[in-house]
Amino acid sequence: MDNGLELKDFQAGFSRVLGGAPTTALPMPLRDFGMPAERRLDVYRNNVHLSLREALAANFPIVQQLVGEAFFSAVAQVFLKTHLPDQAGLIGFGKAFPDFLEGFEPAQSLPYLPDVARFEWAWICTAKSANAVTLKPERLGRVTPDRIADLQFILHPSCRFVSSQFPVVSLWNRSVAGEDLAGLSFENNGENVVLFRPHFDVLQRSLGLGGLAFLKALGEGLALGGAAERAATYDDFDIEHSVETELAAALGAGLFLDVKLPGAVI
Amino acid sequence: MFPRPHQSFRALDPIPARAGIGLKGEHMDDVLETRPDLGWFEVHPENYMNSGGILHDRLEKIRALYPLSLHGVGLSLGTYGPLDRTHLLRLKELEERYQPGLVSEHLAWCRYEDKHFNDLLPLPLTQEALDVMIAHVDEMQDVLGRQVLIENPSSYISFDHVEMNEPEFLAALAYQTGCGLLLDINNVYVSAQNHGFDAVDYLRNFPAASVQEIHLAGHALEVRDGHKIRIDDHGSEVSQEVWQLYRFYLQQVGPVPTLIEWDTNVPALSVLLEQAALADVELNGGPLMGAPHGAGHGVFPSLFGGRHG
Repeated sequence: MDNGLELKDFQAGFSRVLGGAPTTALPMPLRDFGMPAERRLDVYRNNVHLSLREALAANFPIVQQLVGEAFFSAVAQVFLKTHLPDQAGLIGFGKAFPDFLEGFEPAQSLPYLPDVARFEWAWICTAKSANAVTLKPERLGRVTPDRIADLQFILHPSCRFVSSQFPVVSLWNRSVAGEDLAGLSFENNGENVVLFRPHFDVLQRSLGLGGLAFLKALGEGLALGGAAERAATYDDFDIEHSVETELAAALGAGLFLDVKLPGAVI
Repeated sequence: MFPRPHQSFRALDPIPARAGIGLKGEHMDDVLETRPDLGWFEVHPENYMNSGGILHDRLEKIRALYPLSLHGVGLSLGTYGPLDRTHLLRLKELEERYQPGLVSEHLAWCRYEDKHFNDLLPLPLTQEALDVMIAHVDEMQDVLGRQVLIENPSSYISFDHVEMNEPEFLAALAYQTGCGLLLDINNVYVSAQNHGFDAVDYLRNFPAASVQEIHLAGHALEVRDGHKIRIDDHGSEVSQEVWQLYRFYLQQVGPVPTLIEWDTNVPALSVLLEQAALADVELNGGPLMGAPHGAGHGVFPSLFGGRHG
């Protein structure tokens, strides 16, 4: 600029103004026409806060429902001070919100809240994931029994796991349906779920700890035999029977994208 | 990877000189069910920068029935320093997938370094800011391989030091880059009221030959500490003052594709379609004309260049 001011200094100063700094953070004077400049800058401060709070609420609607709009707005204000979006599209805004809630002192009376947020984040990721055709169970028809343990299943790209020591799956579903939460026990009532989307609707499948470990191990690339061994370390997974039932259920639901057998074409 | 564009999209490419509306997710099923008689739709590409899911499915179906415009809000053309190349490439993927009739962005900035503010922030209208905008619009047009439109923003602050006014700035930008312009008449009115300039003068000075799209929207009048300020919230019907400016502008330049924007407190689809129908009446020469397109030409023809293309 002719008067020695530069665009980068203006934008650095304006960024500080949006974070709460006064007008004097700007390297150039503003006109006070009709309304003081400080009040005019409030319009931008409010717009930024409101639009980002709305974006956060859109991705975490049940968290907002559980704590109420006023509390959510206060949480959002603190969160946004250190977590402005790192990209222009806001579809994925709030990835850090569950961990933030974990350490947010005023929310400690709701210890399950971070896991509700994790469930909602997983839900968004599943809803917005790439579309993909699921594996057809018939693909396994030609596999000989001696090679079954070597099968490598590839999870559908929409699969997301949520595991909690609290009943967050029931809590979320009851909240969405507008049902009473009073009868829900929070003692020794943990829940695990896989969220997935074979078509457009996000589906949920409840899992035991063994079933969860089994699918996660397949997702990490372990072959069927190795995944079953890992899952069998949990009491609720019986290597004789659970492999067959869990695998059939997962295939039927559409949790897999593909399957491979080393050294063979299937 | 994004799927290939639908075969039938290309035939529908051009945006007609009719009214369109901003397409909201909650209206998509209603649109597909009722197939309203409407010229076109516009969406923010930022809401589609993922590859799959139900919104894309609905948008593809709507795109097969109507022309579409992509109206970006996140590229931050006015930011000092390099453009966000990742964002621009995501926009290009969407452009190739949906084959829009128009692609537009703003005279504004919304990012500083790696912080995104999700709001269209004001630029001081200086030669340096113009140079930044020119370089970034050039890059956007090079990457997309097409002309883009740049929209005048609404604003709440003004600077003591200005080197040119907004119509001059946008005329220079269009001249230097070959970009087209998107004239938001609600923004003109909001800024004129907030800063005390004459909206009609602004429209007279605006480079009409570059205008390929008009936006209309509602705004809010707020009183803070006894001071009035108009907020461009896209949360209500288009105001009477903005309809009058729109009518005045069309009388000078003839019909231009016109979008009704409504982004907060979004009402039923039918309310947006009623607003679009009002714009179509004006595009057809106004309520008393019943005349063919362009009948209102020539009240102050010497004040405006003729529109081309």
